[in-house]
Amino acid sequence: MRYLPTVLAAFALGALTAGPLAADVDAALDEHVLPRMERLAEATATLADAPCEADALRPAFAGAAAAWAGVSHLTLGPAEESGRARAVLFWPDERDSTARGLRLLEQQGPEAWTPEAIARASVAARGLGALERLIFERDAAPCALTLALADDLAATAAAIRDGWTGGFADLMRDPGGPGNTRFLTAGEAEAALFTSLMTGLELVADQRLGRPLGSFDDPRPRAAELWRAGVSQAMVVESLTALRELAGLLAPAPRTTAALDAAIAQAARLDDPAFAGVADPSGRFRVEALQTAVCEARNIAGDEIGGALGVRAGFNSADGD
Amino acid sequence: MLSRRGFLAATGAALAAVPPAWAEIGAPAFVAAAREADGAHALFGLRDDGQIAFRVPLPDRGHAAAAHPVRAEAVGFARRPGTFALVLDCAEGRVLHRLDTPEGRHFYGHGVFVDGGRILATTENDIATGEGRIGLWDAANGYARLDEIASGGIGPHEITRLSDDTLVVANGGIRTHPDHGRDKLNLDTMRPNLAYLVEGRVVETAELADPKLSIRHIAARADGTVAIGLQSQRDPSERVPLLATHRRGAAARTYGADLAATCAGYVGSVAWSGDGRRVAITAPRGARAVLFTEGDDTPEIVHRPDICGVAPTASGLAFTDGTGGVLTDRGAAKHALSWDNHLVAIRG
Repeated sequence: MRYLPTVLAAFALGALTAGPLAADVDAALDEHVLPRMERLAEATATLADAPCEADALRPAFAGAAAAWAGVSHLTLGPAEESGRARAVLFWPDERDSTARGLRLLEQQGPEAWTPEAIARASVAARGLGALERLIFERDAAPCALTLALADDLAATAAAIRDGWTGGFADLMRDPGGPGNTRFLTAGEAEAALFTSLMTGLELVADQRLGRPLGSFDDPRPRAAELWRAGVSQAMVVESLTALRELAGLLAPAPRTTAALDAAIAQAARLDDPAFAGVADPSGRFRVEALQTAVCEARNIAGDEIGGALGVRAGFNSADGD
Repeated sequence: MLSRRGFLAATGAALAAVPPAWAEIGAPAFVAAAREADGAHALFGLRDDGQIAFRVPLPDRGHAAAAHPVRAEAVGFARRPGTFALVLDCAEGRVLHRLDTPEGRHFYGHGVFVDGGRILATTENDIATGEGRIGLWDAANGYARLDEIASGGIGPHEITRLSDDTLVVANGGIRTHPDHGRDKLNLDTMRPNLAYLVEGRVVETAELADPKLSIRHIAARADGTVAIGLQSQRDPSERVPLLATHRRGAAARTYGADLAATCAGYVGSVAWSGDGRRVAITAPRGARAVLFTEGDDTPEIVHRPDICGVAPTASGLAFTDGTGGVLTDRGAAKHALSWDNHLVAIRG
């Protein structure tokens, strides 16, 4: 893993002006990112260590899914290296690639169920999506494949955590340091965390809620995230809780945190673990209301936190020429 | 047309306005347009360590610039479909000339100096037919319009030159009409190509297997190999190459299909390193640049938000981004402005 491209010789950057308000990057790393990455590594290790019985694997799976929901907004750095985020959870999966990939792995037989072979397999056949099918639809059989996939997931999670603790967090803490081209100023590290917050809120509204909602005429309950395991709602609650935590660390943001507290309470009240309710009008209305609340929280965060940090949207990425 | 002597006599006063050589204003390495913190736009000169060498105000957002090979003079193009370009005196910070496209034409945002800086060639749209044109302007004589020639395709965007002054044009293939802004009018039938022009005529064109990949930004290496940055008109997540290389008389080669999804199928700029050993594409929608090295299958990634500008340094590469960052092999800098799409090396 190279964060410091060889094209750029080492250099020292002089003192640079910070944003209008300095977010506490150290606090966001120490109280949000790193503990949650550790939790992901531990939860996936617990899943990998569980005996190969559905009753033991199911709660461990739910724990790993929840831990992932708490960090899935942190797409920068180690999670985006080598497609690791997709290897933890390949979702949305519109073409049912997970089923196809898993079938292929099974056809290849036990010899292909080694850590090396799994790591080379299609990302769609790896991670929580593949494990969900084995654990919740097939009583974890074949056992050797379930365990191999769980080991692979734990290894991916550990690699993400190690990427953060072994370099990427330090890059964020030392903007403008020698050779640090990723973060030239403290403002850039803040902006990256702010982008994670906004990306996470969009992920909840557009994907975690938007996918199963589909349209009124075409609700898609089976497009919900990990619906077979019945953890879709729990993942929304976990994700919003993590995003609220991050928002509070980035800037004094009373309006954002209040909006997110309300959304979290709304999500927790749903009583619709797999979002099956989107197919009936009253259930649908409640999920839509939650989606609206998350969109509102996103707008408030953009205004309140983005304004405080002085972050602007992309100049060239939106130009298109 | 006036003789050289007659021209001198007629424009004696204006003659004093010819800018000095780049070397006399400290030999800046690059020019790039930017939006400043207060919303104003300007063209900047940058040194090879990323620091600002000069600033010339612009009336509106720029796209690319063309730097004169000798004089401290740059042409700033408005964003397409603009109908004017400004010739700027980079020593004095003022407008020397304004280029207006002839009736029925508009600029596509790029241009290049040829013939030792005597002629400026610009990519243009023949609005009525959609045919690409190359406008030729007399840079030695007040930028009078000399002529125009066919670009060899539709939607010519970036234009560059080989060392023998062969013009190379990226005909993006996408027809637009100023009445419809940047709407793409022919996506079903688009056929982009790379065209080589010698003495005003298309002598060779190259196409890629997939016509939905717009050939949009190009850079030429000293040996005549052209690198092509592609913009997919398919779904952004589709697996398509992002980079192609072509050399006259040979078939094009493509690279980077594994990167299409993370780059959203969109390349903003392309450049060879100064030593010609690497080629870089920028992907502002993927917040990264990708560096390919000949003989190495694993490209190198440079992560920067909104990265788009890339240009060669003496031996390596330099990058600019929309958050004000400049990375070069001599250093890095962060400025309180947003660098626009392109970073242009001053070849001196």
